[in-house]
This record gives sequence, C-alpha cells and structure tokens, in this order.
Amino acid sequence: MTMTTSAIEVKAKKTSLLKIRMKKMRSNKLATIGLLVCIGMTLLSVFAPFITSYDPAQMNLSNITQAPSAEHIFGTDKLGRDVFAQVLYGGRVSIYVGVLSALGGTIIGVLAGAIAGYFGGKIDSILLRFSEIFMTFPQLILVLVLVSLLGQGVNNLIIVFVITGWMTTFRLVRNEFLTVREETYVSVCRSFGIPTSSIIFKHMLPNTMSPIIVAFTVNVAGFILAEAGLSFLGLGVPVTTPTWGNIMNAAQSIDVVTNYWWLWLAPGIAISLFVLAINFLGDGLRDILDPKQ
Amino acid sequence: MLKYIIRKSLVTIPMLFVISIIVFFAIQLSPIDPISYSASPDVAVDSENLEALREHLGLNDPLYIQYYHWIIAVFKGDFGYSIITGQPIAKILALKLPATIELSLLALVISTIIGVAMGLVSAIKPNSMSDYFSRNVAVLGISIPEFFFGIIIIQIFAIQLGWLPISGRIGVNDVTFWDRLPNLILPSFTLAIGMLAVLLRYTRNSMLDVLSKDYIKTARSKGIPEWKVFIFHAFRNSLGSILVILAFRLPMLIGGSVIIEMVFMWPGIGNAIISAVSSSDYPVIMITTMMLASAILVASFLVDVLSAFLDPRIRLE
Amino acid sequence: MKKVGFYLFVVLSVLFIIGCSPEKDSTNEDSTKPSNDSVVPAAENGGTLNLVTIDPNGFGERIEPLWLNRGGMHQRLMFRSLFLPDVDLQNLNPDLAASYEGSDDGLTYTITMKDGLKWHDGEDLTAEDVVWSIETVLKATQVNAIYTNAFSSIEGAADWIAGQSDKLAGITAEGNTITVKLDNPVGNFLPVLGQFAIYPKHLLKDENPLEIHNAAFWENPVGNGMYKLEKLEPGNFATFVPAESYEGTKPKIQKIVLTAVAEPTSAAKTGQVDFFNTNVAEFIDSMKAVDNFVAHPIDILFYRYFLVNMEDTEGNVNEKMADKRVREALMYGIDRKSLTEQLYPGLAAVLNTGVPPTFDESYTDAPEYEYNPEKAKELLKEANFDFNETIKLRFYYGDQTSINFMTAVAQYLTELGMKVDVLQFQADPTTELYKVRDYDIALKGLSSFGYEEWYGEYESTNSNMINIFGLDGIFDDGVAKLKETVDAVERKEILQELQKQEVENLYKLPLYTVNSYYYVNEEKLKTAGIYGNPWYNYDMKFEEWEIK
Repeated sequence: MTMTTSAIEVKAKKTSLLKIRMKKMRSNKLATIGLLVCIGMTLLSVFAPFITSYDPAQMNLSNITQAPSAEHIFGTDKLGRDVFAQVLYGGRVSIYVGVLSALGGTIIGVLAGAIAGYFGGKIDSILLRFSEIFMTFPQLILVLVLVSLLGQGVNNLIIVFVITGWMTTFRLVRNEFLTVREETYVSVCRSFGIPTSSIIFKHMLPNTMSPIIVAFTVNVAGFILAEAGLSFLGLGVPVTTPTWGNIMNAAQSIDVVTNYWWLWLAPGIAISLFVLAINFLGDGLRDILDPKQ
Repeated sequence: MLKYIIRKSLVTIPMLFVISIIVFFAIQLSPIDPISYSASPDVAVDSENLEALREHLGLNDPLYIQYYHWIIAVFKGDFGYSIITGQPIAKILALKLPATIELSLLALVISTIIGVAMGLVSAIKPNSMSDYFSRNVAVLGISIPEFFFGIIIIQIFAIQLGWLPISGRIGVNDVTFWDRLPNLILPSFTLAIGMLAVLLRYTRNSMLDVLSKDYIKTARSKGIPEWKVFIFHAFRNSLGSILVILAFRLPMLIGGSVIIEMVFMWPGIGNAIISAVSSSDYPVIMITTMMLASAILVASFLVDVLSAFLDPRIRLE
Repeated sequence: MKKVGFYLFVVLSVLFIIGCSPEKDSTNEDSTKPSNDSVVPAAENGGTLNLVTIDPNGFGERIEPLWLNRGGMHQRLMFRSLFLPDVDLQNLNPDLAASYEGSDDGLTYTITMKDGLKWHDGEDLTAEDVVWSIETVLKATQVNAIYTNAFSSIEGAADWIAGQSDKLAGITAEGNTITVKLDNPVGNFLPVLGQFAIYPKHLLKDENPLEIHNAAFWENPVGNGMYKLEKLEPGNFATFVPAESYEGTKPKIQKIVLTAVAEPTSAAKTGQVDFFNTNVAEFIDSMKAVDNFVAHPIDILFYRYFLVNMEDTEGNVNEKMADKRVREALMYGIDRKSLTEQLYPGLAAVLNTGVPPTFDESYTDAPEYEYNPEKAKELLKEANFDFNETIKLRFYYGDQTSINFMTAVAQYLTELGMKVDVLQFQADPTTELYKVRDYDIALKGLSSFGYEEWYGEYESTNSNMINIFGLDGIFDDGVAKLKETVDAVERKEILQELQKQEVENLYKLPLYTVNSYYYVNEEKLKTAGIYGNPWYNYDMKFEEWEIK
C-alpha cells in the first residue's frame, strides 16, 4: 500500500519537475532552437521523397555542375545529380548512423554500468578493467582495424562506433549507481523483495537519466562528425551511399572548392548546422537537467 | 601516496600486454597483404618472387609464432622494420614523433591560452553577452568537421591571400624553428579550434564553483579589489582542475590529429599510422599502438595522481 | 535568437566569400608572386626548378627504387640506362652504352660500354654493374614485368632464378663489352634495356635481392645520371644538383627542388611548382584557371577496363558472367562515350580492343558497342540472365572521378534491370583481384610499355590472371609470337589476330585509355618541348632546359 502511494507521489513530483524543466527549456532559447533544428532536419530527411521530386541517384550527364537555380535549388553535381536531393537523402544515413550508434553505445553503457554499479565487487572490477582496456586502446587504430576487418557498410560502421563509444556512458552510470546504491530507497525496495531488474530499471535508472541524456546528445554529434572524418580518410560508408560526409568528401578537391561552391557549401552547412544544433541542445540540457541550478 | 602511485602503475603492464595481443591478431585477420600491397595492379609485376619474399619475412609462419618473435624482439628493445619501406621503426618514430609533438604542443598552448581566457571572461559575468559569445564560438569550434575547416582556411590564407604555406612542415630554405613557424600556424590553429570548448567549459565551471565559495566572499568583504579576487583567489584555486584536463590531453601529443595531418600533409605519426594500417604493415601498427596506449595510460595515471593530490579523499578509496 | 542568427550569418558569409571568389585568383596571383620569390631564392647561376610529386600521403622518407616504376623526372635524371630512347621509346641513343650489335637470329647482343663512367660517389661504373643489375633484377620482388619477361629469356635464367646456378650463364662481361645470349628472340629486348636502370653494385651487392627495394641505400641513393641528390629531408623535400661525374653536356639548371603536394593546382598558383604531369581529371579541370601554365597533352598506353571474374584455376565458372551475351550487354548498356566526355574531357578516349582505335595496328572490324540499352536488354533476355542475382562491381581507385564513374556505371546497370552492389576494395587490390575474388566485374588500370602487357594478361602463364580467366590459354600462341617479333608489319598482323580473338571472347571489357598532361610554367621555365610517357625513360633534352 505504502508503496503505491509513494509511487504516485513520485510520479506527481516527476510531472511537476518535468514542467519546471520544460519551462527552463523554453527559457533557454539556444537549446530550443537546437531541438527544433534537429527535429526539422530529421523530418526533412525522413520525408525527403515528399520534398523533392528528384532521385538522389538519378544522373543527367547533359546537365552537370549547374549552379543553383529554380529547378535545382542547390545545383547539380559532376554527374548531374540534384544536390538538394542528395543532401536530404544523405541526412537520412548520417542521422541514422549518429543516432543509432549513440543509442547502441548508450544501451551497452547503461546495461554494463548498471550491472557494475549495482552489484559491485568482482563483476564491477572485471567490467571496469574491460572498459579501461577499451579506453586505453588508441581509438583511431581500433576504428581503422575494425573497418578493414568488417568491411565498409553503414551497419558495420555503426557496430564499430558502438564498440568504441560505450565507455563514457558506462562510467557515468556506474558511478551514479555506486552512490545511489547506498541510498535508503534502494534498501527499502530490496527489503520489499522487489526483483533486482525492477530495482535497477524502474527505480535507480530514472535517477541517473539526466547525465545519460546529455552524454547521448554529445555522442550523436560526435559520431556524425566521426562518420565525416572517416569518409575523408576513405574508410567510412561506401562511397556510393550518400551521407553528408561522403557528399562533402566528394567536394574537397581544390577545383570544386573554388569553382563549384554549391557542391560543398550545402552538405558542409547541413553537417555543421545539425551538429551545432545538437551541441546547443546538449549544452541546454546540461543546464536544465543539472539539479544544482 | 607512494603506495597509490605504485599500485596504479603496476596495473598498466598487463593492460599493455592484452592490447598488444588484441591488435596483433586483429591485424592478422585483416585481408590486406603487405607484400602484394606494395605492387600496384596498374603495373604488370611478376609475382613469383613475391612469394619468396613473404616466406623470407616469416609472414607464412603461424600467428602465435609471429607474435612470439615480435614480443621477444620488443623486450630486447628491437622495434623491427617496416615491411613496406624497410626502414627501422625506431627511425620512423624519430622522424615523425617530433613533427607531431611540435604541432600538438603548439595547438595545446594556443587552445589553452584562448580557452582559459575565454573561460575566465565567461565567468566574470555569467549569462552576459561576452559569456554567450565565447561559449557559442567554442561550440561552433567542435561542430565544424576539422577537415572542412582546414580546407577552408587553406583556401583563404594560403591560396587567396598567399600569406602562409599550403602544406608541409619544412621548406627547402628553412633552417631554424622560426623559419618553419609559418608552416605550423594553419594546422595548429585548426587543431586548437576543436579543443577550445572543453577547456572553456571547464574553466568557466570551476571558476563559478570557486567564486561561490565562502572564502571568496570573505575576500570581497575585506575590500580587496575585484580583479585581485578574481585572479589571485579564484583563478589560482581553480587551476588544479584545469591541470587535470590538460593531463587528459597528453596522449594527443603523440597521437596528434590524423585528419589534420592528412589535410596539411604534416609528416607526423598520424600519417605513419594511416599508411601502416592501409598497407597492413603490422610491425609499424604494433609499435605505434603500444606507444599511443602507453601515452593514454600515463595520462590517465597523471590524472589520477593529480586528482588524488588535489583531493585526498580519493587516495583512501 | 538574434545571436544565433548573427553567428549563422557570420559563418555563411565567410563560406560564401571563399566559395564565390574564384575570379580573384588572377589578380591575387600578382600579389602572391613577390612573396614566393623570397621563399625560393631567385635565379642564381641558372636558377631553381621546382618539381612536385602528387601524393596525398606527403613526401616519403626516401627516393623510390626504379625497377618497378622507372619513375618521375628526378629519378630519370639521377639514374641512367644503357640506352636513352627517343620520345617514342623505341629509337635508341647511346647512354651508358656507346654502341651495340645484334645477331641476325636475334639471339645474341654485344654491347660496348662508354669509357671512364663514374658513379656519383666517384667509383667507376663498369660492365660489372650492368651484369650484376640484370642478374639481381631477376631475383628481386618489386620489379616491372617488362624486365622479368625480357631477361628470363637469357640463357640459364631459369636455373639462376631457382638458385641452381651461381651465375647467370647467358650474360658475360669482358672489359667494356657485355655479351648477352638468349634462348629465344625477344622483340623488345633493346627497348627494355633502354628502360632498365643500372644500380651500383659496390653499394648494393650485400643486400638480399628480395628486399633490395627496401635497402637503406634509397635514403641516400648514389646514381649515375645528370643530377645527383644533394639533400633529402625525410617527409619534406629533396634537392638535386648537377653531378660532376656526368660526362655528357652539362645542364643549365643548377638546382632542382622536389616537394610533395596533395593536389598541384594550389602549388601552381603559389609558385611551389614549375613543371608537373598528371592524368587526374579534377586537376586538369582546375588547372584551366592558372594562366601562366601551358598544358601539353600526350597519348600514352594507360588502359582502364573492366576485368570480368570468369573462371578460377580449378575450372569453377562464374555463372553470372559466363554467357558472352551478358558481357556484350554490359558493353552496350553503358554509355562509355558520354561518360568519358563528361568525366574525362580531353583526357580519355574510348577503347574497343587492346589497341586504341587511332593506332595503325587497330582492328577496324571491332564492334564499337555504341550505347544501346534496348539491345543490351535483348541480349540479357536471350542469355536468360537471372535479374535476381546481384552483380558485384568493385574498384580500387580512390579519386573522385573514378568514384563518379563507378557510381554512373552502377546506375546504367540498374537501368537495365540488374541489381548492382558497388564497393571500393577494402584490402590491397592485388589480393582482392586475384585471391579473394569476391566480385563479378572490377575496374582495373594498366600502364603499358607495349601491347605485350595487355595481351600478356590473357596468357596461361600469368600467375595472377589465371585465377580469374582460368587456364584455357587460347591466346598463348599469339602472345608468344608477338613477344618474339620485331618487324612492324608482322607485329601488325599478329595484333590483328589477337584483337579478333579478343572480340570473340570478351574477357576484358575495354573502357578507355587515359592521356597524360604536362604542365609547364612557361613564364619561368623554357623546356626543349619534348614530352613523352611520364612513367618511362626517354630523352627530354633536359640539358637544354633553362629558367628564364
């Protein structure tokens, strides 16, 4: 009985906290704009077929490197493909890679962190060592070796990013759990015989959500940039798949940079804008979710 | 304290060992063959002697034997030879490390000075215009892909304006460090831009933290001028945590930024790593990996020790 | 809100300024020039020639060895061969050799060396160096097949390579005279000697031939040519100065500086380079904006073609590609003409057999495979092609134009109703092409000295190609004849026959040949105007070059 009432209370408290945070969020203009830009760009990519009638793969060799016009608002590339369509469709893959990798890393990090933090002892030290090895591993070499092992592909790249990107979240969750573990409500739950999984996920995890969310946004931004960087080194997604990184990489030659500005400006701005928006959002969330403020 | 240091440093050895095993076997699983890599299929090559070379280099031995040979040699201080260029790896390191350290060190200095300065400015008046400006510039810095930024500043400062060289480290007539300083400016600036944000945020937060402490209030109430409070009391006390962040950056001195080295054709260690990985030149990959891993271990060790020094509670844990 | 707008505005305007100001180049050039002159000290007894290697990985740690690629200008100027060919690579002039004589049966050559030749370190260069070089190249690994093909016909070569004799029996030196005896005639034996760089025996004799390309020698090589290495700053640059030991006409240019750039146009604009060659479409396009450089296009035999994965050495056939009509359909279904015109303007010429259509030996009855998607679809239907199968299209060139080319080819095949999967090879191309063999069609290039290399790929003795063409060896007789024949008329007949066979079988899908372009800063540099295949040794009359 007491349990249910307290649960309701917690819920009521939560909604009011949520309200406060929403209010804070609205007052933090940059974060709001960041959020809107992220959502807007994601929607544009998802609904690309409704926004442009061009197929990003459709070549037109009689219409190459056309400057922006009413017909092609971002111009056409060296194969006569519509750059606007490419940027829209490219966003799909880039955002997909960024979000899914961050999600995968977060899930692994949270699970491992929760287990390590809740149980402590041997499991904790094993997982900790494991994460230390991964952190000590020069990330770049790990990525390079994994990419050359798994081969190029969108999903392989996500696997690589997940493998190399779970440690921050792990450490975060573990440390939070180590402190939360000692609090009264956890021992109360335990003495009520509530299953461990329920204690971890229903009671302890929600209390550590804020830093996880912030870490998640930072990771999305990081992975999108990492994809672009790997594309630059020729190790990212297969070159024929349009991603912001690939489109931009295709446009890095001096001749393109000076003569066909529309080929790199659009994807360059798309990628910078999206990452900027996510970073503003993350910064805002840090302020909003920080209980100290 | 000493016990703590010794305990921490002993952990690193098995860790390096595990890493070396993982890297070695991962490289060997890669389908790239260093012998056939060095001959482009664009040129007709007679491939029979290539097999003899592979045998001669011991590349046909079972993996565990190759690993055994490698680790024994490393313990004896022999880093081996690059399969691709035949150069001793010690020599490759001696050539490339200084370039990367030079570049990263300058970037580290630039980003620290600018980052800390901007952090201080931010902390003087939180939520003011200047606070907003510096914070957002820093966020912008980490949001633009570094190769994109690099290409753009090459376009502006090297090609359009012609003020600085496009790429490379040492020109034909460069003798002293000052001669080749112009070559350093663009790459180190590009590298520094991406590192601003963390330092700025860190400085700002720790300054705000310290400024809210009681002893600052006491100092203010004593009538000490505000700038003196700011520099001598607040900044000095937040220096410790800024040092911790700097220790985190140390591995960069060795790893540098591969992408920036590529954009500016900087003959550093990142450059060596990329070409070694793409040709599966395993002796080079192994040594550079171990070196980077050690750097990361040393840095995290330094961070731990520094933190323990600053906060005695950690030592007791 | 305003602030965000402000930052965005700043970023956008900066980006636009860079993007929109290509016109400024010409005006800026004048302002940049004086500063460059201060970088490179101006004409002091002959001035300095600035060369570059175009390599995104930067300048290496050494001078590259010459037995795989005869090399760039600096390598040609540092190392000589027995003969110095004219720009056609066939007509030979004396170089290290003073004269030669061949027997009527084409089996014996007698070569007389010049007197008093010296290496750059002052040691004597003798016939011994030549004999040792030929012996060693047969046992080395990083070697162009033109040398192994020609020299393995020397008497006793098989035993020597296998290690069963301690001397190559067919080649002897006596004083200044070298005698070579062959088992069978080799049509291009002398032109090959015109390419073959002689290495110094006294510095390299202790190296293992297998690893001679990795010897420490290459960090500070001692050559025998017009110029010698002055300084090599690893990872940065190398400088060359005229060699006192060179016995020919002394060159006018007193110093050569070699650096590396990722792309030559910026270097050309800023004065970092005076002379270079390239076959990259993007560079050729961007060089149009650089006024003081003059472009000199040259025709060379550099092929691009699709390699079809047909059959392995075990006789396992790749069913997808087995029907010749499918391969024909690919030829008709890809608009090679438009593609080459748009992606390689002025650079590539469509190819239908191993002999480009503009050459005398070309087989005029070869089909031109003009773009005809309807015909392609029909052929696929006739061949009962299974449209559910995915065609694996692979390539190893990383440049953007090749990527665009492959993307476009994939698009053409998709339009034929095929399922296509395009990827750049992950591992090294040689392993992928001949060992892993996980592809149906792969884009390949071949830089050829003559037709022998193109047709040699069909031979059943080609240890790489048999992994994808099988062991049939239907071309063997024709290719063997071609390799032995010197006479131009006879060669034409043999080539006609080979091309006919090629059209009938269609194992390689010919795409185009890529020309090369030389760029000369004619405001600063005066050359002799002779430009040839940049990968081979020929007389460019460098001694006449001067800095204005």
